[in-house]
Amino acid sequence: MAGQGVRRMRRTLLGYLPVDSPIHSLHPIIKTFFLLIVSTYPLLIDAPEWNIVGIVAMFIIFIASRVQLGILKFYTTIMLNIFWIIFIAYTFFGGYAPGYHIIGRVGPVLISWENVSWAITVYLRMFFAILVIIYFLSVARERDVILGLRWLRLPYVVSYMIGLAFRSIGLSIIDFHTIREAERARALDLKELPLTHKIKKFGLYIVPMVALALRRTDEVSNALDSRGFKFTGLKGHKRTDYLLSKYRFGGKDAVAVGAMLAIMAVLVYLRYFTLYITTQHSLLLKYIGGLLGVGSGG
Amino acid sequence: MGAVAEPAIKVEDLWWKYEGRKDWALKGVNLTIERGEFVGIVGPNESGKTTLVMAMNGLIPNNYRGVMKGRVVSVGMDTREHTTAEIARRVGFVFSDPESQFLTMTVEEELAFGLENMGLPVEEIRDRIRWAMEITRLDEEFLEKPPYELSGGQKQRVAIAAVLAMKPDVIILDEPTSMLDPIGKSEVFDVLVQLRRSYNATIIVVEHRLEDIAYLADKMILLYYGEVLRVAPPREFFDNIPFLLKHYVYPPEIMIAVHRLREEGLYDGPIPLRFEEGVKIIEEVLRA
Repeated sequence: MAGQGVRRMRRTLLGYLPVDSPIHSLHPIIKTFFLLIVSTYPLLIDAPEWNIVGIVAMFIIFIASRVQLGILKFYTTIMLNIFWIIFIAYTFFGGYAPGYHIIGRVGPVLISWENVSWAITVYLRMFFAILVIIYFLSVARERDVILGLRWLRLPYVVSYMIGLAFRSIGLSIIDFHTIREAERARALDLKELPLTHKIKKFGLYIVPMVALALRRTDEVSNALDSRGFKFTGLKGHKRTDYLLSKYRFGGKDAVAVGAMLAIMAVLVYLRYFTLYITTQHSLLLKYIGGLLGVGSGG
Repeated sequence: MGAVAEPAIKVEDLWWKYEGRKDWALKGVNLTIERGEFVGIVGPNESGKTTLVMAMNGLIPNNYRGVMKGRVVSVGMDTREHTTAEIARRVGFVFSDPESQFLTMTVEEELAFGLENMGLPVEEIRDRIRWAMEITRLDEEFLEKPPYELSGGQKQRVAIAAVLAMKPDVIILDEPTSMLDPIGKSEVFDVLVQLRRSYNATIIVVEHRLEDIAYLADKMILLYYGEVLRVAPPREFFDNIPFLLKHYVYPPEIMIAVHRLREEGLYDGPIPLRFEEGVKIIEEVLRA
């Protein structure tokens, strides 16, 4: 039968999410809270094994939210590049202080265990943070972000400007593709040119982009006025928030925020009042350090 | 004696020149559009059609720089004394490019936007969205979708629904099908037919597709380089085909064919407004 087996999806900032994803049952603000609260976790944690726990937890959340894990493939190269940048920066340019455990030497550069362990620590911390951001972008829509801002009672102008910015990005991308196709149709393909020529010819994109952006500004301004909108509000009319009225911050939402805040509070306590999540107490670093014959890490 | 109903739109000796331009875009336009009328505005490119309708909803002179003489009163509001946003509550405007009028990221937000600006209660907004979607035949599953992901016809129907939901006294559609493919065009015209039947408002359409507008309109206006050359009911408007052709307005082929029969003395009745009507006339002439 037509339509049988077709999974209904909802557009998100990064792709599509099934309509039946449990994340949709939560208030839109939860997604923003998730980004704001959970992204602080890796900043509080030094010990790599705890960041690994966070990474595993993120994968579980990805699966539970029915985010297509295939989306992560696109970020493999970025993650690898980040790894190499961090590894090289910390290992070769991390500096040296007396007391560091030297595990190797490349020409005049001393490779110390302390620098290597920091590279591992920083990379895993970043991995965790990037997963949080990818998750947010995979489940949130522009509308969720805007509703979140409205729920926080920010002035409508602020949330609307952000919404308009999202909209402008979309329009600019469309304009860019149109211009590129038009340039290609007249035998200009920047792909074929060396970098210096690409930079020189980039003006051919910029000029029409700016012209189109100005025209769009006019169109948006006309469309806003034609729909009875004024940033200052019309006299005697309080703007209704119809969209926000569709969502209710319920028990489930309170539990979700409470859990996120509780974990954050625990992490703050562990970081500032104990040594459990520091590199000095890291079991993983101790283990790797043991393998390299340098004892403890950090 | 009962009070005489105020016209929907009254244009009095309107002159408009865009800043930096030498020529007047509108030259002494006088027009009266009554409430509940369905009006078609035609004319060649650059004849001032868009300028005229923008003057009716206040975009001119409020959002454009230029010189204006004369006045426009839309549903009792002088466009020079009211902002476009104020006029917009009673005069809706649908632009030719559906993409350019979307202000939000989902169809539902788009439909709610004007209603939120009007400060209507949530319940009423919900009812009006449902009603506008029904008239424009938009499926409920569109609500969650970004409007720019829809087909051309669907996009323009969303734009019409967004204006319609505000229940304006006047709806102006500026070449609503000019950027659409044939399917999109017919989707939009279906909506116009539906509006004509079920929504008792003044509807003003700037359109090149005369075959679709002819039978819907109560009144046709020919604008030619800033001047109104002809205002008449469609039957009368299309009666003088040579006059229209002389002014670069090309009536549907069926009208021209029947006009030829008239020229040949084979037929002396009115010019048909619908294709079927024209076919019937030709069949009768052939039979005779």
